[in-house]
Amino acid sequence: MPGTTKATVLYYCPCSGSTKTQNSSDEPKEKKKRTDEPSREDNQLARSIDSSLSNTDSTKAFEGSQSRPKTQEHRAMETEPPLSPSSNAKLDQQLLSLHASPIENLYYCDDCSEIRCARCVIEEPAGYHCPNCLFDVPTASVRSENNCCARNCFQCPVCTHVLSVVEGGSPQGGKLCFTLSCSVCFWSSSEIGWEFEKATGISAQVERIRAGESTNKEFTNLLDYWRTVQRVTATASAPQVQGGVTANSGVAAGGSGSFKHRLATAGLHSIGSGLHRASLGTGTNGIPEYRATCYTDSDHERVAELMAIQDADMVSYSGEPIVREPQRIRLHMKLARRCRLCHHILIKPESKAQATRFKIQLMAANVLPTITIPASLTPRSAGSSAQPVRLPKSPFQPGSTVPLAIRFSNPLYTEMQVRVDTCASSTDAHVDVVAPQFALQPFTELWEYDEEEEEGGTENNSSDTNLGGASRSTKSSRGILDRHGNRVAIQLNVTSLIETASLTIPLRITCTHVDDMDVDNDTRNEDGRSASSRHMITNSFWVYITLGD
Amino acid sequence: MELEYTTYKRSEFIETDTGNKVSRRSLISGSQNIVLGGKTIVHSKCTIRGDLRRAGPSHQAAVLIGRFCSLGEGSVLRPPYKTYKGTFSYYPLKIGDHVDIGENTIVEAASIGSYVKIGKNCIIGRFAIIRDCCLIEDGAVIAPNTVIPPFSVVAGGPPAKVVAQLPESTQEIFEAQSKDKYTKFVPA
Ligand SMILES: [Zn+2]
Ligand SMILES: [Zn+2]
Ligand SMILES: [Zn+2]
Ligand SMILES: [Zn+2]
Repeated sequence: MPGTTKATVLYYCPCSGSTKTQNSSDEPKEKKKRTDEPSREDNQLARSIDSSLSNTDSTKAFEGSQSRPKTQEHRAMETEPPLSPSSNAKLDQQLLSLHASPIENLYYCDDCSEIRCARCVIEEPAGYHCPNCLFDVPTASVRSENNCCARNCFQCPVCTHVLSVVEGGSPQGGKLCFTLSCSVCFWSSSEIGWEFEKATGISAQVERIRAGESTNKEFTNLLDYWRTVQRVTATASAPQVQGGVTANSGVAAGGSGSFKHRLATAGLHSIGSGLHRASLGTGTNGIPEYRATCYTDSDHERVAELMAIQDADMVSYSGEPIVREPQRIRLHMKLARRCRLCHHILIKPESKAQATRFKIQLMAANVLPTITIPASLTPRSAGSSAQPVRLPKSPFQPGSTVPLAIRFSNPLYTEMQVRVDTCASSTDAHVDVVAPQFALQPFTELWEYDEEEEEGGTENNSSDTNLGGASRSTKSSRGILDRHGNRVAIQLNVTSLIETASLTIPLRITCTHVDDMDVDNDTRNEDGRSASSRHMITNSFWVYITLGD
Repeated sequence: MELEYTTYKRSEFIETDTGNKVSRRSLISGSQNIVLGGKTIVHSKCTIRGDLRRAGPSHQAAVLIGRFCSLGEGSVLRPPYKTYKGTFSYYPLKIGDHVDIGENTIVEAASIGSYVKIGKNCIIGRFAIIRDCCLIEDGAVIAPNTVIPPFSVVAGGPPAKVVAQLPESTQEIFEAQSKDKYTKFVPA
């Protein structure tokens, strides 16, 4: 019985397969964009929103205009599969999975008339929301909210589960009191003294608690101070700023040399003195030195002590408990996708968090035929039992020929002509397509209705011209095993040339259909087929069918 | 691979006017409080607790299930409960269309959207909310009150986490799969 042998059908994407990700070398370029192109900033922001939660296929290829010239290599693809087994070695499955995907995961650019995969689309933010409360956050406020939900959504500091607001804690004077509590590990925010007067707007209440902490005040003061420095240096001595320290990165660089230098010259503590003195010593005249408000002398001594550590063994562990605070839940982003070559929009989601619909959705499965390996050929009718299809058994012996059924289904509302070509030079297997050309009837809701209501009991008019009945499937000399609705099953005869546990068969599929738009425009003639004057669309692509484990 | 046909004993399943197929070997309590949308399959040893509902003369159903759902063998659907302002009460469990619940999975959610696939041996905690187009992998334990945003793949736990995103075509895929599954569930 089938089930022992596995079969997968993968569609090849013709892109260069760039898996280039955003790395450090791209940083300066990105920073420059940040200043003159605010829309890019959204991308930047968005990318930082949540790398762990963003999808696995987000390889984020951003180099927009990497054009791929249609060279001989491309033309050669029409006769030779882009991935083929070299000499006797089997086709590397990992390589295959890198370049080919199940059709559900692929897009289709109707400008390029080509498959697009996750690697050859550009991603753009199309709305932000909190993944927990599903509140839509306006793009304008994403940054000011630090990419986090500004409502009640916090993550448990122990187990990462979302905390819920519960009544409790230590109410004073009979007033209600709320805490954040974890329903998984029973952590409660009263452990760190977070108790709230209201059950709503927890974020704002937390901000109030935090604002009162001396360290936060200090940080705000420092930030203000350095903004002033930045402004003054930018206006007074911008031309003199040298090296990598631009006006824009001044705040960011605050953590390194210039920051330490300033602190050092301010006499706060003694680290980092001498560093970068030359580069920034002159540009900051006129600004009073920074004075820490909350740190005492003992703090500075401790910092100096820690900075002077040379040997880890010398460190004494004080055993101070680390206070862990709940973090606000990070926002999610909806993605729009564009073709990387022509920037044609492929996916445009509804921006609302709750909506799962798309304004634009160009998926490959909506344009190209879906190829499946049937488990049984004919739809089961009330009387007859369905014929199970036996998959060729692995391992495959050299010289033995096995039949393989594959089924095509047409997603379009127009008829589709399909041609199946094999690759002649395969060293793995010889494949004979018994019926290399056939037509796929248009998809109609009616077919579905048939299957559901009548369970395909009666054969419809489409099939009586071609087949003497579905039950005689194996005897069909034309290699068409079954026709039903928008679907056709054809037979391949696969001859393995090597002994192998798994066999990968490349097939070149070419399908042609009349442009839908034209059909809509001219008032559909009854015969419906004055096709010569109509605009025909041809798509061709490679699929890889893998049999065996 | 296409899905294979599954056959059942005609005597075991009751087929309703709207095409629901309910195993006589399932455990259904308070059936007057349970709504099945149509073409939904309730497999053997599945437990649906329609009897657990808010006390009082409310007409609200306790368990609402949409169309083309499949409740796997040994799965348990139990409305969630909580004590609010000192009163213990059950709340309705709502399930959308095209929802596939795997074998031995326990569901105490407040709501499950449409186009959702839940694997085997999962626990969907009390008042969890699973939005449309989600995949919950086998053995996932979703903690109480969790909200799973649309297009999430959830695994592991407790507490289960979002581990990946589903493609934009998920709705069409899951809808086709649930219809296919119903069509291929046939009497022997
Ligand atoms: Zn394009
Ligand atoms: Zn690609
Ligand atoms: Zn939120
Ligand atoms: Zn916790």
